[in-house]
Amino acid sequence: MYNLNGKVALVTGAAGQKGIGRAIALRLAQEGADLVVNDLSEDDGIRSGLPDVVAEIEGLGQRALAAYADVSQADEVERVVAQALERFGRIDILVNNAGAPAGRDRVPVVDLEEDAFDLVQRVNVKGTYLCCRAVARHMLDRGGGGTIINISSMAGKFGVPRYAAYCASKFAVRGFTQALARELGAAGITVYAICPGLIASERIDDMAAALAPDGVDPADHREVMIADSIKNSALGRMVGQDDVADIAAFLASDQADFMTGASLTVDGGFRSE
Amino acid sequence: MVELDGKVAFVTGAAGLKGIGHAIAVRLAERGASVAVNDLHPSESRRQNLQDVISEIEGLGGGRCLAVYGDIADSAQVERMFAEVCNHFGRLDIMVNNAAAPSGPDRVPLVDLQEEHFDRVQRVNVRGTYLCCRAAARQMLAQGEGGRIINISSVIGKHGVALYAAYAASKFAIRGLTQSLAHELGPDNITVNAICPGLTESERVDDLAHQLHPSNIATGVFRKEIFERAIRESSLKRVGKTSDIADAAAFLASDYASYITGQSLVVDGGHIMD
Repeated sequence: MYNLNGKVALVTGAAGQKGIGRAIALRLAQEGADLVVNDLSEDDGIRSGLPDVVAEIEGLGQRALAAYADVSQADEVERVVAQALERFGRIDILVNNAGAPAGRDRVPVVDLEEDAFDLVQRVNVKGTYLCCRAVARHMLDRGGGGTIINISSMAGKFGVPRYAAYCASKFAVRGFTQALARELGAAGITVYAICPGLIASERIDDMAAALAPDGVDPADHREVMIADSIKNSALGRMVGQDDVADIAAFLASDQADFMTGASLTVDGGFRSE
Repeated sequence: MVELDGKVAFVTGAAGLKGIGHAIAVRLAERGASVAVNDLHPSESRRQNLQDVISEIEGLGGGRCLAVYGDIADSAQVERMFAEVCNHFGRLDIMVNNAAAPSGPDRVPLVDLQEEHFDRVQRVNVRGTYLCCRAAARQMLAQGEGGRIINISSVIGKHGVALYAAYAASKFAIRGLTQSLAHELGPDNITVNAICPGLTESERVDDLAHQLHPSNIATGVFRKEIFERAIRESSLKRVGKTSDIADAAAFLASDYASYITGQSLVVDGGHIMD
């Protein structure tokens, strides 16, 4: 176990039942942290799992607070941080996991509409920036120390066709991570990125729908994507949500400090680096 | 779990009292692993023998350990050492290839680099890592229960620097070997990763300062300059401690890292960041 007793973590985008955010929140709770879990409003009809996540965390004996907000709106982010501080008095760990759902952005660049491109940058990049800024200010105010973990992607290390908007946003997250690590290192605040490969979360359904060739059923294409992913990994299986959560627990502990600025690849040995 | 109870680890190059190998061996033992430690026989090395690290591990209480002397670049000695480890502990779960050639007359401009000095670095760092990886992989495959191989590369295994051609070549080579082996052993649930430490406070920095100081600057002053530059360049404003590297190794050896393979983890306080 990585001892996170007494720590408070804020995890964005945590409502997906099969999502990385939820897995990370639960793992940090298992390691002893109290949690603020965030996602969009309760009734958006897509990701309504936040009350379940709160109940699961409390079932593990930790305290949990649901904070609904759009991470790309500065005033809403400020409100989440204020709620967290009011309830728990501190934030030690920030996990920027919220990302725009895959949709009309998964097309060739020549067909990519501005609003689809903008949405991905707004949530993935601006949302990460706003949460980092708000929480870093708090961490600096109380004298330093803390950990920020940004969820990038393998597509944040290697470009993929039809993923230009997503790749741009996930590369941006890594660049942002490195700059922030250098700014905050002297204050004992560490900043990392995690770059998972393909994960069988809700997101893969969106992706299959966006990427299925004409005339191919998205459900069939989803199976092809999964089979390819397994074939390409050295370990012969897909990335699990818990694989990412394991790494987040390590990074959130004090055992990873000297790796600040790093982007950890979690892809089962697909693209070794 | 982070805990390594019941696991058997073998760490090469572990005799340096302030060395990375020593710190990794002690950390794995703290987590519950039985640990075999290797280094050259004291008659062939400037370092002290392995007794200090053995005493430290035994002092943790319950930690089982074994000293295995030998040259990792000599296949007959490697075979003998692995037999000693497996006869003593019955198995091998975690292999840490840390042993490396001491810095010496290889730290010169390439145009002045002599063959024998180049060869010596490749022999220990690359050939030694290959032989130990091969022996460890054979043992792990025979056991059929997966395993962990951790190879110590360097930040200079990611970016070359002047006067380090032989060393950089060897540390890049270790990363290439790591990636190929990760692909080969993945189906058998054996992960293979590298760690790339930045400047780490160990005996090696003393050797380095001794080796590289300009004639008009004393060794101690030059050592201080090396440290000051590393502190300036790091995000965390300190040089690495061997415990930083040991933390990363313990993570890679644990279940927490079960899906990380083929990777090179940079542990340099936030300098090169890739």
